[in-house]
Parts: sequence; C-alpha cells; structure tokens
Amino acid sequence: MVEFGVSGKLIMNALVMYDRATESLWSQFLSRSVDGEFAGTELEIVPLTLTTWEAWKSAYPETIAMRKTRRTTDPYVGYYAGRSVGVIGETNVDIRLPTKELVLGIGFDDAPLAFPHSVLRSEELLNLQHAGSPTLVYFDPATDTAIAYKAEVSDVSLEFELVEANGRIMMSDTQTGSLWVPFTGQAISGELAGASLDRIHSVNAFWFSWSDFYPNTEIWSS
Amino acid sequence: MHKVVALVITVLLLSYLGWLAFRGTPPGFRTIVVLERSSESGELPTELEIVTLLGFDAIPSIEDPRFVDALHADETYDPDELVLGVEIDGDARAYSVPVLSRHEIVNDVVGGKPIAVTW
Repeated sequence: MVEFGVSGKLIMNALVMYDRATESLWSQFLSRSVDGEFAGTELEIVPLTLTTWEAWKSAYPETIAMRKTRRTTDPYVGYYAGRSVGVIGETNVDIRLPTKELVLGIGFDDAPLAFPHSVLRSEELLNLQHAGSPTLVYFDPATDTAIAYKAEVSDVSLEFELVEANGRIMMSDTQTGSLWVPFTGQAISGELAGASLDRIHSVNAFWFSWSDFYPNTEIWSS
Repeated sequence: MHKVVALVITVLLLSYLGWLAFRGTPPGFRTIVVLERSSESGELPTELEIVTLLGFDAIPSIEDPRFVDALHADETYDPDELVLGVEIDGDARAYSVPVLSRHEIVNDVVGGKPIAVTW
C-alpha cells in the first residue's frame, strides 16, 4: 500500500504527489510517477464522480461521507470564478475555448477529446464513437455533473436516450428499452436489469489545464 | 567575533533546517524530467517541467479519514456542496471538495482497495 503526500511541486499547474516510502514524484494529471524509484509506473484509475452532495446521496443513499466538524467554504471559490490561470502560467495558450471553461476530457494520451460543459449543457446525452469504442456522455445541467461511459454490455453496443419514468430522468437503451440510472450506469428494469456500464477514464478540468497537457486535443462539437 | 561565529552557526542551522524542509529543492526551483513513453503515437511532451513552490507536506494530506452516515453528513454538508464520490463494490463514499481544497489528497481504503482521492 502506497501513501501519498502533497509534494509542493506542480507540473503545468497540476498537483504533483509524492509517496512516503520512496519519495518518488507522481503527476496527478498523468496518473503516473515522473521521477524517482517509481518513475514510469502508472497508477490504476478509479472512476469518481464530481457532483453535489445532494445528487450523490440521491444516487447512493447508503453512502457515507468524510466527517467534517463544521460547514466549510471552498477557499478557491474566487479562483474558480475568476480569470486567473493557475500559479505558474500556461504552457500552451489555446484560444479555442475560454481558459476557465470546464471540460470533460477523455482519451488522454491516445486520442484526447474535450467536451466543453457549455456544449454538454444543451445536449445532456451524447452517443458517439471514440477511438473505435461506443461511448456515452451524460450531463446533468442541474449539478454540472459530467460522466462518460463505455456504451456496451457483453460486447454489444448500445445507444441511449433520456426518458422520464416515475418523475425521474432515466436513460433508456434503444436496443432493449431497459431503464438505466444516469448517475450510476446501472440498469434497474427491462431485459438488461442488473447490468451496469463501465466508466471511461475521464477528468473534469479547466480548459487551460487540459490543453496544456494535451495540446493536440480535439474539441467535441455537434 | 563570538557574535559573528554565533551568527554564522545560526545561519548555517537555519539553512540546514530549510534544506530539510524542502528536501534539497528550494522554492521557485524548476527541474526537467524526461518521460519514458509507452507509445510512440502518444501526444505527451517527452519533457516535463516540475516547479517547486512549497516543501513536502506544506499542504497536509489526509491519512486517516473518518466517516459519518448520510443523515449526519447533512448537518455539515450543504445540499449543493461539491463532492467527489466514489463507489467500489457497494462501498460508496463522498469527499467534500471544500475540504479537499485544503488537503488535496485523501488516502483511504474503499471496498478493500487502497486509493488516493486527489483534487
């Protein structure tokens, strides 16, 4: 088991961690060690969801939450909303999008593709092929939650649309009409009930950060 | 003369403590690492610049997070507070983003799997 601490160093404005055993340096954005004994070693990615407490609790009622002793405000609220860009300046100034636009990034080193939240907001559900794989992107405009799934079950490709069922927004696949929970990717009724979609490695990032790491990224547009 | 020696020793001591705190890399220092790349077609730059701004642990990561159930969490989590949520084998956990902004890393074990939640 490896324990990570904050190194106080940055690579293109993004967190660099160190492991306490060997003091190797690890890039958060690249999810691999870049210096030290572990250099070149990649971390396994565990999908997570950036959303609101209420939306998370609604998707996972049995969830537990990291204990806090009091209500907290985010010290970076001004930074999120403001125009300042990182700490050490941009490596690659890319004017295709506003610097602080939030994007959902997928594909990373192999086929980087960015979905601007502003575009996702008007689409909410996208079916596409990415690097040869059927891909599904869900966006919840109420909470700005963006999630990418591999759109297949047992090697069968699926396409999805949003439907309303019992007053809730659900996804329905056009192949079987099964109903899926958008936040969890789990089918709860229909032929595929019990199945779940795998998440695709993705990150929600500021445009300047994504385009610094992946200058040749494509930007999704309809 | 004694004062000067004492001053020199103090300066040396402070420098040494400073060096210890920064593990040899002073703030503002920039180093370049060359990446070993797994694929030729990759888009990553082959060289990365690492900028040192603070010492190790100047921002304290969390090693031993404690948890409460959703009902208790409601007392300190606002409904629209951002969280990072993770679920492994039925073990679902939420981490407050305002707290993560102060700590950047939470070391935890979720569904039996050791993970680092980073912000």
